[in-house]
Amino acid sequence: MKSIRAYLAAILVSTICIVNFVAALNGYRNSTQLADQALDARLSDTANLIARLSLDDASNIVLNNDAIVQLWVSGALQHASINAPQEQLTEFKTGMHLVNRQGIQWRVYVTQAATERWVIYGERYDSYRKLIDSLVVGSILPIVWVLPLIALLIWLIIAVGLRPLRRLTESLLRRGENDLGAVLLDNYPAELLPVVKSVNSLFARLEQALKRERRFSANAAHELRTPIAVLKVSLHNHIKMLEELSQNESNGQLNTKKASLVDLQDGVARMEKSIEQILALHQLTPENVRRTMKPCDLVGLTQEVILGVYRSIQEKGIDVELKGDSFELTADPNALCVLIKNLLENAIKYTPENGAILLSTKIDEKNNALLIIEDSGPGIPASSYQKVFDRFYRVAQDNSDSRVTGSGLGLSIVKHILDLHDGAVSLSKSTELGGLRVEVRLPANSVDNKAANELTSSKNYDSGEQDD
Amino acid sequence: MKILLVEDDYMLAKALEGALSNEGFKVINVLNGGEVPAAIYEHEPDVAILDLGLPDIDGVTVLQKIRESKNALPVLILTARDTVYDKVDALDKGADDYLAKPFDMQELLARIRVLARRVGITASNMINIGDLKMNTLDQTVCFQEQEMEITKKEFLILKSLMQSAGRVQTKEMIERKLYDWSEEVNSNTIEVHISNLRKKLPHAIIKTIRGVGYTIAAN
Repeated sequence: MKSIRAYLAAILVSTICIVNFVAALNGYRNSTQLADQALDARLSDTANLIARLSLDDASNIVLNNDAIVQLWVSGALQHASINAPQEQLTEFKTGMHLVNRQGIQWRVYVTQAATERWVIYGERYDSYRKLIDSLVVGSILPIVWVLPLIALLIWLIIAVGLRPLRRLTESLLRRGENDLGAVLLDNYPAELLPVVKSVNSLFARLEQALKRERRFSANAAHELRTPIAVLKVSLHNHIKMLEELSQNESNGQLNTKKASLVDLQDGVARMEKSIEQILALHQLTPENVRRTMKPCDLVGLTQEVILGVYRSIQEKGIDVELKGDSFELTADPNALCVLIKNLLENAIKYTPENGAILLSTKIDEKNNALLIIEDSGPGIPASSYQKVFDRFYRVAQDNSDSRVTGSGLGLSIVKHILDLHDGAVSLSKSTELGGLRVEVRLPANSVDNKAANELTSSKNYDSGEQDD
Repeated sequence: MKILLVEDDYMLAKALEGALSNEGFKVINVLNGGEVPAAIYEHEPDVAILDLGLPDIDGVTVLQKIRESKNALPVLILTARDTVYDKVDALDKGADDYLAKPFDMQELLARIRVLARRVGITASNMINIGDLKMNTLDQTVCFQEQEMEITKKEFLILKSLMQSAGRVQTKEMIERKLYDWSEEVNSNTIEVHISNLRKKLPHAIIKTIRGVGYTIAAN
């Protein structure tokens, strides 16, 4: 059933048609039957009347063209009306007979007036039937003519009847994707009320579930981050303490202890990273991201991320540069920060000391927003380009620092965030820096072009300057 | 230097107290937001480290109360809430800095040093970074005891970089700071002033992070 309205209209109109047809057929049959009975009564009455007349009177009967009479006495034709034949019309047997003569149908009544005296009286039957038919059909036909009108009325009445349903549909369609508020219960008919109520209860439960989910992930975040902070600060304190002790006396044992604490520190750092990434994957749901979509400045967000991780850039003596146009695009700023941070941390991780990282932003010819991150690290083989986006996949590191660790979740988070924004990512070899080149593309409809041009001019730093 | 540590997690508070004491800070630890006003009144801390998820009052409310009482106490937010919204909200409500848990102790110390330096500057009117000495009262700058010729705008830009030594300042951040000091500098001319400053100072002191901003190493 594609449309309730079309279905109802079709089924009602065809039901009315069928019922009308059956009723008409029945009416036609009854009417002709009654007409035949009336004709038969008249025929027998007239025949009997003629039978009672004296032979002379009967012989003088003159009839119109549609009636015939024959008077038979002792097997001989005593009298026949003008258009009656000379031969015997039918057998001498009291009752109704149907006679076909020269293409004309007659209905004939035979009666015996006296011994050896027969009266045969008949009237034209075919023209009588034609008259009855036209009378009956004339009374049925108007019903056929009004059928289209009935269909039109039904079509309109159904539309009126379905109006509450349409109102409900519209009120559901009009709401924003994140609006889980109840549908107003104004004047819905009894049939729709249960639907509206269960939709409302579904919305309410969904809203609750989402709230619970958010509360849970906030709690989980707090409960996981605080103990890691405790571990990190305590380890920092222990290492400091050992450093102070070993300053006073040179002791090999202390150095071994310190080394194991540094290992522990690396382990904690790794766990921290994994937890952060799992939390990010869990928190960045389509609902949460859609709730917080707004115009953001890609360059501004990238700058902020660089400021946040600058200490690790500085520690490795990496030369980082951000260049390109500034423009606004519609996205979840938090998700975008997580995305940039993951890519940048990845680049920092694989870039050797005193290496270089180049971040650039631009709008391509199809109006997509591009963020490109290149590094001077070892890169990854082209055969792994697809696999690195799988969760927990890690590139086999033959040629890079063996202390580089990670959960393998970073790029799958990037992919996840891009999926939520209808974006895409592609990997290649950086021609400029020789390492990995990650190109993130966010779709055209997210870019706000108006803001693009005016910001471009103010963001070009004095690139002629020499660093250190 | 006294640090007020508002942190309800006992283990973290103890660990932080140890780490901060080790760096020579005196730490006053309170577990609830409600105790903050009394602790500020009693101990007159120089810097506060504030957790947002406190058992009684939300940390942001505590921060607002501190600011409402016209107290300029530098506040560093230390929290498990890590979204940009939480950060922007806390900074809007008057936080001086924001660090998400779990943090690197080195990072926390660096940030406390920036805040402490700001407190020190208000007290002594001096900022010392290596061989570079700035007197914020006379508006003079000496490099290796040699006074430099410096314009007012250059001085203010250098002050903003020295105050936040070790951290990167974007042009917009410098512009905003200069605006707070009632000196308007177009972000486009900041690079001209910086370029002039670099000619006067030894080459490596002001580092450019191209496309991002400028920084002066903390030591």
